[in-house]
Amino acid sequence: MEYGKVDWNLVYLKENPFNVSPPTNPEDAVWAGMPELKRQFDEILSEAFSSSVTQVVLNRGPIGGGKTHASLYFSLQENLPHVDPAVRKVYTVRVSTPKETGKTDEDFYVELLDKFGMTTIQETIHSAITERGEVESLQSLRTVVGSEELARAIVLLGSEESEDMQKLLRAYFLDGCTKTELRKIGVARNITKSQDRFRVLAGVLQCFIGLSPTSKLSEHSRVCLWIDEMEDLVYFTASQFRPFTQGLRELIDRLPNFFTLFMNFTLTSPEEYEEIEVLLGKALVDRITNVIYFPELKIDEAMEYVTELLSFYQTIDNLSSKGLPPTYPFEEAALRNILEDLEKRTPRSINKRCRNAITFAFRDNLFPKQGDSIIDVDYAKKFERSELDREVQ
Amino acid sequence: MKSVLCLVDTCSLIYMRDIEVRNKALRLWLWDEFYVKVSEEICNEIQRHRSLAGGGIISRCNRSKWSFNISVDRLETTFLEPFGFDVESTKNRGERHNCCVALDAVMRGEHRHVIFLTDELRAIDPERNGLLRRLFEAFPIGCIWSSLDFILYLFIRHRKRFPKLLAEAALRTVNARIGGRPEVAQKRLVEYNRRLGQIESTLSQLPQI
Repeated sequence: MEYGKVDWNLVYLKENPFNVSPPTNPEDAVWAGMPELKRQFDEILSEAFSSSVTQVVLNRGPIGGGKTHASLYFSLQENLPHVDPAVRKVYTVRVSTPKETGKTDEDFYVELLDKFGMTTIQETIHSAITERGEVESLQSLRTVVGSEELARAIVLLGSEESEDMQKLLRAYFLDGCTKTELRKIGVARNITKSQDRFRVLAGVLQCFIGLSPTSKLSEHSRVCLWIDEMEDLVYFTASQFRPFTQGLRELIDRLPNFFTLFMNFTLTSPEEYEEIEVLLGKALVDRITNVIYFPELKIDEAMEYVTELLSFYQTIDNLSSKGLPPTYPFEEAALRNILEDLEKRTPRSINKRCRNAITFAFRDNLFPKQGDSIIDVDYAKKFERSELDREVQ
Repeated sequence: MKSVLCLVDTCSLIYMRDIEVRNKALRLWLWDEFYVKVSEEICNEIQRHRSLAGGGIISRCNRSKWSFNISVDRLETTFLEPFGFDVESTKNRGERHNCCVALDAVMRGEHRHVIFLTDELRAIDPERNGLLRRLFEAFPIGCIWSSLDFILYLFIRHRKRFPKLLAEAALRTVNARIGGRPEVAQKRLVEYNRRLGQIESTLSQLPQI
């Protein structure tokens, strides 16, 4: 049997719209359907950009529900809601919950600094210090960090111009220094404790936010930190869990303004508050200001999602002029059948099913010519039978 | 009171490492609370994982080795094979031999009830037709516990000096080591914390105990 080729252009698509894993580049992330979910994000983000309030947002929902996708989508400036007046700038950074079984707080600290990049951090601290002056900056950082030594080290990173000192300071923040090196940079101690690491992070993030003592929007930027896969906290032993969650609490408490923390958490069922407290820890749960639930989609919502998703990838604007439905390459009723039978109607499982259906049709040579045929109800049944056979095998 | 016989699996001994209850290693509490026995294979397995078996656990196991009257191979073939245990496999051999200890101990009349302690939760999962569960249903000679059950038991016994916060931390650590899919591990942690809370609220009504 000769298999047909997979050529998305034959069905008026630029490429496969149905990705099963989130794209690596945020620019490839599109938002389709789920208007209520988007509204909730827009609302929280509008508040974030137009006020000083620090937010802690718990995004929870089933696996494949779109949490990581949302973090990608909203990490792109052009996808953020426009408000006026607004903060000067929005810095979005995405990190995963540490996976290594060693020191989770240390891994998180290094990953976050790495995500920003030490050069960007150094430049940002430099700008913040230049704006407020060294004395005021040191004073303000001392309040945020709660340690004179750590505050001084942050100021030094932003003000030291010698290349050798910069190298030493980078080593100080990422790996630690010897006693001789500490004397050379003029800081009394290394960053050793878990609490120190989160204090340093608070100081660094405060420099991104701005060191002005006011709460004026025009004098501050906002930092949005997304932590993905927080469900992995369940694999933390008590000695890993406590410093990590208490560290995050410390970070939130030390940044009472212009900071938004999004925590993506996979929960299969809508758990009770007490249960979420067991999984995340009281230290964090007590600080949650907003909860966004990513529900499984109802059939009409799933239809809307697929139709909108397809529209982003269609090569022609007006399919109806060719007598084709907006759900092309699916007939509307066929698409409904395919989606109705899904066990879990999450964006990921919808994408998987739709991708499989179209790929099956390509292989089966259903689309020998562009726009010539369509996945109709009978064909959808044929595909579903084949999927069932595959599952049985 | 004569102690109950407790048969402990290698994985449980390893998952309970580095956890202290009242200045004593959690796993050593087994020997204080129960009459602990292990099959020889458990001693071999724990020896192979000696980097995780500090604090005198190897010598404890060696001193608690069970002596069979009948060959363990024969017990395995007679009792375990019909349930689908792969008696040729080296995998889970310690656990299988502990099953034989349990049967041997009760049949010989030396013990009337056993606690079979294991964290191989697949083997006791009713939804996955766990072999151990099926064996203990067919031969009602005792109960199957996980290390999480043991922590709850210790909390009941020593609540005053084993506060809830420490019990929660112990449950979290052992649960993390047992692992499994996130939703399964989450559900399990929530369930054991719920039970811990229930035990505490019940016992707090009985201050004299």
